[in-house]
Amino acid sequence: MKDYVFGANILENLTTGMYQDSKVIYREYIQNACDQIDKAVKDEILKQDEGTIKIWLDRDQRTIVIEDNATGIPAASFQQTLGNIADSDKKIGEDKGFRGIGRLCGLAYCKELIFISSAKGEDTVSLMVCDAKKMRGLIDENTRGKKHTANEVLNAINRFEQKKTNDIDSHFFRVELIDINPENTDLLDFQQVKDYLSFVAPVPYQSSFYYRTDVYKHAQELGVKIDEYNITLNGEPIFKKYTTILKDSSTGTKYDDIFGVHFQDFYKNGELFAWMWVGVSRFQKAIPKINQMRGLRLRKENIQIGGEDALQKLFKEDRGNSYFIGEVFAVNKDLIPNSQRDYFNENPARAYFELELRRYFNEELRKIYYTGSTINSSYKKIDAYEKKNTEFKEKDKAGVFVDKEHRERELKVVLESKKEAENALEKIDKIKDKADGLMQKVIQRIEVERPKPVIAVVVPPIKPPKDDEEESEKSGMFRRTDRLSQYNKAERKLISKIFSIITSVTDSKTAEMIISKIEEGLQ
Amino acid sequence: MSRTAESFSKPKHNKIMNILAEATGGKSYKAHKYPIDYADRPSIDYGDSEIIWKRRAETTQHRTYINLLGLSKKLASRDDQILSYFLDGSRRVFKVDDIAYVQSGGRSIIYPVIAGQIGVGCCHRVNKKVVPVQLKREFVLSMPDVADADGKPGFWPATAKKLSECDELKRLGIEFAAILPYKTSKNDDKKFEDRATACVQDRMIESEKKLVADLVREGKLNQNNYLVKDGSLEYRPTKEDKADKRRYQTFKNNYNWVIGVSKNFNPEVCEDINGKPNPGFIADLPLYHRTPVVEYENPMLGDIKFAVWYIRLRDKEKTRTPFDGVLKVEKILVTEEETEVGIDSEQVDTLSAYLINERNPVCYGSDLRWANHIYPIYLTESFVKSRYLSAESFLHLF
Repeated sequence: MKDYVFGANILENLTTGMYQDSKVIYREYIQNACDQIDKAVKDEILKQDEGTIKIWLDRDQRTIVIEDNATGIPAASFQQTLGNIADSDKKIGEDKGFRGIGRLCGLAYCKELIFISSAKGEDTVSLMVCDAKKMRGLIDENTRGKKHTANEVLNAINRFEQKKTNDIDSHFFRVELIDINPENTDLLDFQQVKDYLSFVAPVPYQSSFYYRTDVYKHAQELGVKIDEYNITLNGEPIFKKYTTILKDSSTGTKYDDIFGVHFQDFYKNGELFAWMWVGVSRFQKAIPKINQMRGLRLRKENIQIGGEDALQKLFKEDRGNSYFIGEVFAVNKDLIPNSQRDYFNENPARAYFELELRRYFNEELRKIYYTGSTINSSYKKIDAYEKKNTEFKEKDKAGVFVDKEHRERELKVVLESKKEAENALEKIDKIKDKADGLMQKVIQRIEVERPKPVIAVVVPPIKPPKDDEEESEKSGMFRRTDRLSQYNKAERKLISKIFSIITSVTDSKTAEMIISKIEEGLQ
Repeated sequence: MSRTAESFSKPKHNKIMNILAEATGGKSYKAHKYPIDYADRPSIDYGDSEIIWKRRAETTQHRTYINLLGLSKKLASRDDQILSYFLDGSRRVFKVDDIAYVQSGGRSIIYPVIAGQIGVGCCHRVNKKVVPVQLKREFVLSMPDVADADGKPGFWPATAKKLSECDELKRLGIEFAAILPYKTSKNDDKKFEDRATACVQDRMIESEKKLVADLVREGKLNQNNYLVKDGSLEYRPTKEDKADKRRYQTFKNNYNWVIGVSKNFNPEVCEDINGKPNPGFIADLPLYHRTPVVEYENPMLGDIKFAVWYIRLRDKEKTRTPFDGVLKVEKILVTEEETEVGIDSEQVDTLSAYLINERNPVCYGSDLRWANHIYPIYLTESFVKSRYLSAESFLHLF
């Protein structure tokens, strides 16, 4: 049989060329640690919940350490397990990783990559030290024409060592990235890493997101488990950062809240294929970016697939996804994350998954945010009418109108607004008639929470009109100029005419401002 | 009781005070013995003017009270709980004797001898039941520092040991854990009795700290299992805690799941925007509302920052004073995010709402501080106190 040659470029594909975002190294190493923790629990090395994954960032030393307390790798199989590439014993659908290439990703971002491990009951600690800088140099030479095979490069950069230890009970696997590249300093930014892990890593929901119990309960009813692990970053536990409030971008204050969660399960031939929860709010608008949790996020084995927008393309409208918060848990074994883990491999399972989700998103969810925003805007119209109507009545009572025409003009605006409000009410009734369970909940919430209109304070008349003012008696209403009683009838008529012109050429607010100023001046 | 009664018949030289007088070279006056505790009455704590309110310490910059009625109802309707460990420490102090020591110039001065019982206990709520998980009970004495005239190292532990080895105490199964010397120097205007009581109090706080640290070390606390501690959080990490940087970080982070609730506090430390004391801000706190969270530093406790807020559990109309029914809550700022931008306001709301839901049932009638109590803490306190030796039995030891 012929020996096929793998050129050094294949290593470039598996390391520097593989991922767009350097932070994926955390996901890759966490994924491996999780698999080993599961194995350790199965082999009774660890009790449930005893497994930990600790990440330590040291900005000064420029190092990253990721350590788990799982099975560790026995000394006898250490070299083979870590030395070989894409030769994993893991199984698709059972393990989170299975390609056997994830551990290489660190080679792109540091000077030296070290794997250290010890298995329970062994007095040996095994090390693999990879000279990442040298690897990048050799690959660079390869692209410039000085040919190297992948085998040559690996032999040149990898070194294996063994040390004795007294602690034979310890079991761990540790990855150390030494001297992070200057261009990858982001990897050492505590907050950025924490924010990334808060949505990507398989961690529990933070307890202030109290709907978490509903999510767990639903998973239990479905007979599925949400994989969760104790992951700490510089000692701080990581949680999924879901909250029950939605904040406005500009002010950072709460504008809406999640008042419940709704579930949707997807089956194929009677078998659970995927399931999801979606937070229920008043759906006032697309959720602003300040809310880190926004978007329906895709997860497999509770590790996020892609970014917050992985499912956006399944909505007819791009904005669709940003109206929601929630998670889609892919269950079916044939939904296989691609090597970058930004989506699934193309296969019949993926096609079915997309078909089902697309239908649900565009038939059900789209209806909710559409109806939500229709109802919200309808109520706004009703509120606007109520406000205008009350303001008009107040003005009428206070004798603010300059003349009949002024009053009529304003009345016309009120009546137009009334018509709009009536139409809005009709719309709401129609929607209510058709609304099913979830939609009803949303409508009820909007009705309870809608802000009550604030009535503008109208300036009271400076002087009450005199009883003997014949014109006001005739018209049955107070005239604005009635309060300027120090002027004679002819003068008041003239002023009234000026006021009338002002009200006819400018908007009501400006007119009121100018007229008040004139009144002040004439006092 | 029968065993205590038996001890009366023993010859006098076996009595504790005789042993102490002999060991320390003092003269016991066999003075009137009486309890000097006031701890069970509602009061305002006027102490610690050192505490300084600093910036707001939560992610939402609230300027006024926050209504938690809706959230409390919502959480109550969900069968979910995150407050699961409750810790309380208490002490009872008694003046047990007067003892005279000869000073330079041959003049002798009389000092009080104070004895204390310290109890620190912790209860755990599992499936809606509160069960005791740990109790530490100690007997201590506080004596004037002049009793150790030569300042010999190890004098006090040796004396305590000697005392505990006397037949009478051995027979009763009682040990004195420590003798705590109080300062007799004149540049302190506090009464000797108060100085001695403060020593017992400090010992109790140490004991509480140890218990909390144990729970933290055992990893029993997490976001689903908070520890509610009665009283202020006064924790300074020990040298051992700080020895390993990584271990220290992990340890410190475990304090994320500890909150301190105080029934008594000094409302004067609440300042308005201009830095003037504004106790009215707390007095006017509406029912089921909380104040914004502020950060304070206590120079006594080093570089640890605390977040503090107040919650009203009881209607002002139904309590004796406007400060009754208000709970002071403290939390250590632990994570990097917390020290930079403050605690997540949603977390503060959630914790506060859970605390509001702990207000019933009340211990009305059996505790004067009923309006400020939360029931599991009251239960823990009752459990600890139930393990005390009765005042009479205790005083008869001397």
